[in-house]
Amino acid sequence: MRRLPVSFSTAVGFLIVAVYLFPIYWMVTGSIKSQDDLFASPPQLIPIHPQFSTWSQEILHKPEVLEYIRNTFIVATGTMVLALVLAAPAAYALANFHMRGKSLIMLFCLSSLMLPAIMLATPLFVIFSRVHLTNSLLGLILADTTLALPYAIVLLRPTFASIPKDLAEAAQIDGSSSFGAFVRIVLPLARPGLATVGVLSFLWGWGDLVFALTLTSDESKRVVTTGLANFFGAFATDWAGAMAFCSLAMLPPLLVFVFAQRQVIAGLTTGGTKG
Amino acid sequence: MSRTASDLAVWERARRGGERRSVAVRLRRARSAAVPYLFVAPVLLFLGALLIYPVVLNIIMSFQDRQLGNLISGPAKWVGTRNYDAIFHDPVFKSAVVHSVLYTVISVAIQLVIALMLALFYSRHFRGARLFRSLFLVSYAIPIVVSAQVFKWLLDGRGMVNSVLQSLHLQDQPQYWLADTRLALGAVIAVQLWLGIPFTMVNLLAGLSTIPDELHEAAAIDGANAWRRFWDITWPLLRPTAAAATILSLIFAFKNFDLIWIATKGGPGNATTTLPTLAYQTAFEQFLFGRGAAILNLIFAACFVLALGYIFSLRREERVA
Repeated sequence: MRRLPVSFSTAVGFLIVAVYLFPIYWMVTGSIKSQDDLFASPPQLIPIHPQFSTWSQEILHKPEVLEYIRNTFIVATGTMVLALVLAAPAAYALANFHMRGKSLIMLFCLSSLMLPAIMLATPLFVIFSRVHLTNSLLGLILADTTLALPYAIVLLRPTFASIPKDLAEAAQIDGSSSFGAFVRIVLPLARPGLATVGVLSFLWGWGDLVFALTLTSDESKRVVTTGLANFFGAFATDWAGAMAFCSLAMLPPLLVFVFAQRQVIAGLTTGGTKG
Repeated sequence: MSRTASDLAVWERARRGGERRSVAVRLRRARSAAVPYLFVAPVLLFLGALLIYPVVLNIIMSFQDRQLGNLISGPAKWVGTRNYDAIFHDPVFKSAVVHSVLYTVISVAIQLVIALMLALFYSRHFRGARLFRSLFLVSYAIPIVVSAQVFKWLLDGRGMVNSVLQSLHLQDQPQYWLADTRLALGAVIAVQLWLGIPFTMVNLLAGLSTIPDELHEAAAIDGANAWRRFWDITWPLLRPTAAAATILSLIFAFKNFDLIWIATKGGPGNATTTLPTLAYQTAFEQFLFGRGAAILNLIFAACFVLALGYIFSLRREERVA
């Protein structure tokens, strides 16, 4: 199997990736093409007359677009922080302490992984309406965290289980409380697992459409996904503008991915689907 | 994970502490019997209020007549199973079930085959293999809404797909892939395939990396060709991983609302209406919240069955390993 010449495999491997990622390339180049070049026949694989007027008109001079980005940042970061703060102690306890109902909680978390966001959207709309959490970014953070948490616990438990118990016990002998030992000794050692959970909850918070669509309606609370969903008016189709918006919405998750590939891969191989 | 100097210091302290372990520790342990529950309590309260209660509320609402007027407050009339009766007699619901099943099963079946071929190809050692493998995951990192919007353009009447097919003379007229009732479901299945491939592929690659090279080498010496080696060595060892990844992919595809909502909104007509989009439209466009809740409960039941399958496959994998 390994007798193929190295360069041949590399060429084929590159070609497959290039075809697979072509839509993303097409999106980015589409955002810097003029309307004529956009529909040129044969299609213009490399933009011949790159121009940035779409970006300046549709993105930079539209304060609402920048507000979507800001809102999405708040939601994604909030989801990440809240998921970590809540899940880490719980996963630690589930990994290291003897307690009743442990396997029941794990089973509950595992089965919650499958819960579609749309399943929670209707009841959360009712509940949030009663406590005035609709049309608020905090409400979105809470909703997104609900689905990030079970996954965070499932992923973090083995991380904490792999850290020797003696470490925390030693710290407690030195006078720390269990929680103090957890924060100062165990948490730093769990960094790789925490990073994976952080990255995946950020990506999930960034990309959520269902909760944003159902729990917010104010223009001022719009995020990138709902902004994109409402991008086109009834009939107008400004594809260059849409592609510029898409490129912008893709940029932060792409950067996260570039700098945290290992965490994304680790998360994906432990049951991380999204949506 | 690299061991840093501070980690080593922690280890050293732990080792010394271990020697001093005594009656004091046991006393402290007895006193701290409640501690584990304090660690878990915030999560349980949070999920109790925002996950378990909503699921229960959904079940309650599905037996009530809940519309916009009495959604938040006010009395709700109990209607027994009338919401469910209405759904089961609704032809749109029936077609949504058919679409959901076709969408899920077809996309995941093809996805498994393609992902397996890709995983086998990229698991070999060649220059660039690692980089290419992780590049596939770019599509996982970006929001589904973005991918859906891009494919909407690619599949547009004036889009790339049409111009390629026309220049290859495979068709003379542009096809409106997402606006043609005969083509739309197939088109969204193709996009779902694109979305799902990296997940399955990464999991299969992880599974392949645990199969020792020696097995293949020994079989090759015994004269087994690549085809036989795949079916006799690779596939049996990969099957638990493939099973778990497949169940997760089924769930991922089944509950995917974002793609269909952006690409077609369930249309044209109801050609791509699946259960999640139907539930959303029933609750948030027709404001029949009781009936929407009933559809969601059926989705929940389907996901629950798949979840049990997943947990079962995990258990089996643990026993095999």
